[in-house]
Amino acid sequence: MNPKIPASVDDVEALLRRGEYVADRPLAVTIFLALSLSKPLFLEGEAGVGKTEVAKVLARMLDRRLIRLQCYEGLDANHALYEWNYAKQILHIRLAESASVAERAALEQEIFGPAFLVKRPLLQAIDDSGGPPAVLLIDEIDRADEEFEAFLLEVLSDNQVTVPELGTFKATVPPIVVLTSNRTREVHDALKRRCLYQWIDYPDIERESAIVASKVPGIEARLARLACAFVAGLRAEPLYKHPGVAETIDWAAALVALGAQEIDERVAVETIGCLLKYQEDVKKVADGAMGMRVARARQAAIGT
Amino acid sequence: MVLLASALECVGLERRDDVKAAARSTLVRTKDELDRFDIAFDAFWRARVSGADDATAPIHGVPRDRDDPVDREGPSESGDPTQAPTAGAPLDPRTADGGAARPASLNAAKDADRSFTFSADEGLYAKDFAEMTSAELDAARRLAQPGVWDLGRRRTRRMVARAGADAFDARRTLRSSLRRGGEVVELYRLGRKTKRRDLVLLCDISGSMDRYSRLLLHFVHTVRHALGSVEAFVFGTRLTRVTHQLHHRDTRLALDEIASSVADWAGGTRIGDSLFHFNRTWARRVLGRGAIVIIISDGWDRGDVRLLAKEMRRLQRSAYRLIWLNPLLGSAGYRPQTIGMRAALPYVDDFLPANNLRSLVELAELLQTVDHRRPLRRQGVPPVALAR
Repeated sequence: MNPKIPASVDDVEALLRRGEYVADRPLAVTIFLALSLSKPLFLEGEAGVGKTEVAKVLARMLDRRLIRLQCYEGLDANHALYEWNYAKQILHIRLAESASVAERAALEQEIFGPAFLVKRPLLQAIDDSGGPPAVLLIDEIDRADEEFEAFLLEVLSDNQVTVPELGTFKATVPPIVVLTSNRTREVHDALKRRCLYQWIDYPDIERESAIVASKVPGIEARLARLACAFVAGLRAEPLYKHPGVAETIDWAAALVALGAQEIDERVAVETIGCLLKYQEDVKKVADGAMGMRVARARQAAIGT
Repeated sequence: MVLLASALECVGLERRDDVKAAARSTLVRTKDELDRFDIAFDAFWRARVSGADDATAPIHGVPRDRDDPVDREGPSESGDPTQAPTAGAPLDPRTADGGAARPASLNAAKDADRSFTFSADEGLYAKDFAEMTSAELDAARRLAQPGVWDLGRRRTRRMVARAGADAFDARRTLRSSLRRGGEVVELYRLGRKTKRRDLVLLCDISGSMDRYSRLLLHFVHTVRHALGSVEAFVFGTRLTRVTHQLHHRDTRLALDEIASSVADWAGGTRIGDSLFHFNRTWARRVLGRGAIVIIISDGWDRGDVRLLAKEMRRLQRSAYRLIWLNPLLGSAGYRPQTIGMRAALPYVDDFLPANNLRSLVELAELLQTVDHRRPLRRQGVPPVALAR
């Protein structure tokens, strides 16, 4: 089977580019190391900078299944690992009873067989007997609680899962594990130490323009650059919540949808809701200096 | 008790140190109690051996509990020797009363202790920190011991097995029914797990708070070690996070580290700017799970008042409960006149004094009652100030 692990950092960069993910070199290095050393990748950063995208791109480019585990407080082993389909089991027993004198041993074998096992994301990622190996995306691990982190450590360290009634599932090709965090809580050292850490920051105007150009088909390069310059200006201001890359893409798409050829004060004020989602920020920005912001953005766009 | 009896049976009663060891291993549950147990045990034997006279003597020289934050700020003046035992003297009733045959003499010793110290304590509780002598400050520090601090709990999303709860645990019920061939015999239930709320402390260390800062930071240190983990920040003109510095068990070391890492100690005050920084950089990281925020400040502000009001409103929305401790509030006749205090007051859930030990005790009681029911928040109307 096909691991296709890239052989160098340049290969990783090329791979990401082919997948239309615009990354900077440090991120490519970290990804390369994670792949070569078989260590989980821990991506931290503000919301909307493209952490989840990394996993999707890797899955696409390396021909692996993407298995996504969305974390939340109270997530436990049953929701994350596996569960037995009890209702089906009881039904099976009842049917067997009504049919003939069931052989108990055979019945027991059946009801704890693979047909009644509901595999949840972690087990799905590890059990690759049916298909290609996996990229396991554990999204927003900071939303889960400490009990889940401890449980996750156990699972990640062995790359195998034991179901007492069935046996052990072992991954023939270890899954690529990507954890993301929005830093709403400090994830514990024990988990972070197992991983390779990378902080993903907002991209610069150059990179962001490339991202917008690839995600918003039909946008003029000039307009994309101007939009990114404007957003970069906003990020330098003391707002409560700065717009992320996802917001920039949304705004660019909105501009295209509105048929705007140019960004001027009026358009900016009308569409500010694509970028800023807090009322205080919107009010702060509607302070009459929008014209200046647009002018500054034009300067910045030409300058780079 | 039964365990102690069987332990004594095994060990025999010939050697006192064996008996002490046996009693220790069966009666003492935590490291904190070890010292107290030793004192009680020795006092018991002293009373038996030397007769009743000794029993009434107050127990001197209570050593610090091993796990308590080591208080090396030290007695600056030795003061009255009779004041020394006030601090740890109330022996933990669990260890003191647990013994096989507690004589009345020991109880009398304890009572003598307590009544002896009660009057001294009472005055100390009510005295304003700013008016205390060094000896009283030391006694006050010792009185603010860990063990009395606990926080209200919040309901988490994690479900655990709990008899008598509301939710039906289908998984466990069905699983147990499999053992009986599919017959459901018992119904299992799930309840929400509760966790202690997070606590975030923002302490004003500017010039106007100078008389109170050091003591209040000592209090913050005590709370941190009682609760296990607390996010602590200090601010004057800027906000500095001091959570790591509080990690030291040694109070003086912790406070020294804080003093050295803070550039604007006893300087000016810009509460609005500091809160702005907190809201932007830290709020999302430390307030996520329904945290309680306590601001300790006198409200004297030299910054932008409108910014202060805006940031207070944002902070109130992000915090589960916003408590403001004002050391000036305790003095008679104080009314929040400063612009800063008046601007902040509408967004404060509980406005409390912090000028003497009693106010800290009351704060501890309030914190224990904060639970999953939201406080009644009046929109923009200042809460009634609890003046004493």
